[in-house]
This record gives sequence, C-alpha cells and structure tokens, in this order.
Amino acid sequence: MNLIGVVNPKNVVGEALLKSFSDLPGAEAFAMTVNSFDIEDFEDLIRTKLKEDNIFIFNSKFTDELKEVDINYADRVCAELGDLFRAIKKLTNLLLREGKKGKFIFITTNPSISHSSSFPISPIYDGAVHSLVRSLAKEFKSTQLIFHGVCIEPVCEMINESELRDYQRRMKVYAMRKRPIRLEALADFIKNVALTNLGLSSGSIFYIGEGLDQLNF
Amino acid sequence: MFSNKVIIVTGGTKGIGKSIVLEFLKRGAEVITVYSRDDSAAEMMKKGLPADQQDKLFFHKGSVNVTNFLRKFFYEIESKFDKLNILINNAGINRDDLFLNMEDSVWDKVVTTNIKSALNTSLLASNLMKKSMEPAYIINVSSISGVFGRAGQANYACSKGAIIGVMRLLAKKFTQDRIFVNTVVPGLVNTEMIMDMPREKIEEIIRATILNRIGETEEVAKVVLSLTSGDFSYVSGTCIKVDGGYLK
Repeated sequence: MNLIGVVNPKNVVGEALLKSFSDLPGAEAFAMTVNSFDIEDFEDLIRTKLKEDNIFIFNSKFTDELKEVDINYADRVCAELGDLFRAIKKLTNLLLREGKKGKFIFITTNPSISHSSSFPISPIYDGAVHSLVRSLAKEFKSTQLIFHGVCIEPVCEMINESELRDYQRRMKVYAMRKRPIRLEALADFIKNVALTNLGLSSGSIFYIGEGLDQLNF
Repeated sequence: MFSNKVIIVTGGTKGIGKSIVLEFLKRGAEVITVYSRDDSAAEMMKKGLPADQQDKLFFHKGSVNVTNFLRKFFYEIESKFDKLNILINNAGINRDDLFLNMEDSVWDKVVTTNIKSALNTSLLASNLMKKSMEPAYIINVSSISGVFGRAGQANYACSKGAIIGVMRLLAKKFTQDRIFVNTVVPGLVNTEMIMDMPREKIEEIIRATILNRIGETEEVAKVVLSLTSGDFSYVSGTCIKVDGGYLK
C-alpha cells in the first residue's frame, strides 16, 4: 500500500505523474503544493493518510529563468529553497515519528541540454537540490527514508513542432536520431523509481537521456 | 602577469581568500577585498605586506549579500578604477547542524548569504567587466560538500551546489562578453573552518584522499591564479576540484 504525494503538480509532468499513480491499485495519489505545508493542520491531515510506504515527489516548480541582470533573482531562488527545506523537514519529522517508510524524489532539469530548447531552466536551484539530495541521503542513512533526484529533459509534449525540429538538429551532438521522450515514458520512468526498492542507491540522481554527462564537470 | 589588473576577492582576509589575495599581490595586481567583520585580521594582513604591495591592497567592509552595500561598493570601484578584470567569489558562511534540528533561520542565513553573495556580486561585476575589451574572469569558490553532499551540512552543501549552478548559468550568459566563469572546488583545506572538526573526522578524510593529506590554502590559490591568467583560454563553465583526489 502506497501513499503518493505529488508536490507542485501544475505542469504537464506533474499532471502525468498524478494520473499515472492514480491508476495504481491499492495506492492513494494526491496533489500538494509547497503552500500546503503552511497550513496549521497539515500534519494531522497527512498523518491520517500515511501508509506503510510513502512517496513524495517534488516536481520542479522553479522554472523562473534568469534573463538579464536581475538583482532580485537570488531572493526568489532562496525563497523557493526555503519553502522546500520547510516542507522536507515537516515530512521527514512526521515519517520518523510515525515509524513509516518514506521516499523523496526531486525532479530537476538537465542544464546540459538547455541550449537545445526554450524550456526554462534554473541550474542554481537544480544544483542546490542535487546537493541537498546527496546530503539528506547521507544524513538519514540509518532510517527508512531515502532520497533520489530525477534530472529530466524536456518531453515532446512540452515543445512545439518547430522547437522539436530544432531540438533534434541540435541534439545530434549527443546521440544519433535523438528525439525528446514522450511524457508517458517519463512518467513511467519516475513511477519505476518511486515503486522500486532503491534504498542501496539513496542519494543518486537519475539522469534521463542517452550518455549525457551526469556531473558535467 | 597580473600587473595593471583590478581584482576583487570577497572574503579575502582569511583562509583561502587571503591566500588568493596574497598571490595576486605578489604578481603586481591591484586587489580589492571585501570582508564583513574582522577589522583586526584586515589590519594585520596589510601590515604584513611589503610597502609596494600595501599600496595595492584595498579593503571594503560590508556584507556582499546585502544589495545596497554591493551597489554602493561597485559604484566606488567604478569611480576609482573604471574597470574590473577578475572577480573571485570566495565569501561564504557555514552553520552546521543536523537537518531535523536545523532552525529555519539557520537554513535561510547560510543559503541566502552564500547564494546571494555569489550571484549578485557576479551580476554587478559583469556590468563593469563588459566595459573593457579585455577578457575577464569570474571564479566561484564552492566546496566538496556541494559536490558530494554532507551529513550535518545540508544548508551549506545546498548553497555550495547552487554556486556551481551559478557558474553554469553565468558562463553561458556572459560568453559573448568575453567573461569566463569557472568554479574551484576545494576539498579539506587547512583553514579556520576545520579547527572545530574532530581529529578523527579529519583523519578519515585524509585516508579517503589520494594525496593522503589535507590541502593548503596556497594550493587552492594557485589554481585560481592559473584559471585567471589567460592561459586557460578554452576553459569556461567548468569545475576544477582541488581536493587531493578525494574519494577517487
């Protein structure tokens, strides 16, 4: 029995994930926003929902790309990271208190392909989240909580026809006949990460794509 | 090599930042360093320099994560030097604690200070760098915690991971303006920051390091100087780990 919370579901990826998990027998999938965590009775509300396995997927909400010299941009990134911290802290506290298993999956966007599409990215936010995933995996090693990142590419459904052609042309440097993946395939991948026991690789960031350099140092 | 170059080093009165400042001064640069608290460290540093280098070192006291201070600071730099060749984003703080014990204010303080200082200083510096036809360099000093993550340092690691993201973003944005942006990732280095670390922990890290020792601040500084010397003309948007081969 699984409880699946999809945080920030309001884009095509989030919606596809919710749909994909809703069809899963014996599971309860529900949508959350980071603001939910500010609600006073949030803990009571979620405590009643907790099951043996609890999965929280943090869909990347931060698609605010730095365009020009914008001195307020850092404030927006930091505010978003602050909300994320408070949300994770509340959930980890609750799961540990209740003695339940928990898996946290954070969706980010691969900056290596940012020049190949107009899909907005924020490497600052994503870099922060990747380091956070690795730190939390180490810190919660002896508990039943595990942490993963899934670093995605734009999917077909996110880009229009002309962008798609342009994307394919540019992505030839990475792979032959490179095509963006279908939303359904991405949702399936994330679903597999969510439902498979990957405790031994807690802290891993799974990259979508063929042979893209993972850390790209 | 660096004579007639104007260089800003944030957090340049101690540790790695201080070594970077000293190495640049030895090579004839004019260095402006920003520090937030320790007046005596700044004073001692200046006194310890040969006279010709003392004239080339300028201190500004303030917090680089405070926008108003930064704006005023860059206005003064522009008025005095009218150019900027190199920016080293070294300032950073840590307040370690277990994730579940970490106060909201502690999280916010570390994350905000480290991210804002690196990003906003770079953005304002770029305005001045763009005025010159010469190539310019921005180096962000991150940390091995930002690459591997570290238990008990979620806030610091998160901010240092973000700093790598700052580099990735700005390297692309500034490429047309001949501004090269790179990151240096020091491993365990002999600074005040490790004084509170238990000896066993230090030994543990040394055992996991190919060179079997901790690093010295000068060793990091020399990598920073190489990256900004002009010799690395095909390097931008990259991280150089200066960690003695940690976990290799």
